Amino acid sequence: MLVDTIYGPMVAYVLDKRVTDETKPSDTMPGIIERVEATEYWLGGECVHRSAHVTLTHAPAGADTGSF
Amino acid sequence: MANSAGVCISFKAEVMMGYHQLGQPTLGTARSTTTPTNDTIKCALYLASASITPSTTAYTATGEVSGGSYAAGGVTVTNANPPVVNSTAGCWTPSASIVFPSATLASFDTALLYNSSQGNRAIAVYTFTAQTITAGVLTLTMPANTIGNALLQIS
Repeated sequence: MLVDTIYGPMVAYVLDKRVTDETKPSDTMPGIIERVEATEYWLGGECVHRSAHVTLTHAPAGADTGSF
Repeated sequence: MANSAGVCISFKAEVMMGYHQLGQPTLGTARSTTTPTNDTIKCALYLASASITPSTTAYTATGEVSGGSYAAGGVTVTNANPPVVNSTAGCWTPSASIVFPSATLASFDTALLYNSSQGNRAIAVYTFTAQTITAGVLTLTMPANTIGNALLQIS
């Protein structure tokens, strides 16, 4: 399998694959739990590929609200 | 000033003026009273250092990410689902994930939804923990289109 990297396509088996799936409080919206899934490929201590899935979240009630 | 989330204030008034046609149109719109069409909604990404807030009235290139195949203005949102009533709220959520093709993007934490059919009028701002993309793809996954979860909600 080929992976797009900052150096162009590379075969996956020469890279160190790291997958994270975090569900945690948002850094930007207090009280909101968000989920971020990320896939990284590393080569010699350098991240050469990172893709992410971010689940968008309805903004919290309050002054800046996602509803009105 | 940091980015902050919320429905754009200008959008709240523009809804009452009939500017925005989200989802499948059922009424004549400002663009056509005979052949109504839903508007083209777009999503742009902004650097964590930008200043996109509910006071933003329209898409701006200031503070927008750049790099790789990311085009200024962002990508078109799949706008196929009509708004629905769920419990006591009107809800609208794009009908598919928003996918930004291969790019290398510096730290960003904000997505702006805006109406490119109506002068790029801003709809809403969504923030998240800052992300970087390296020769990769960003996918913004949509929440359930229900009260308390929908991306845009009138309650």
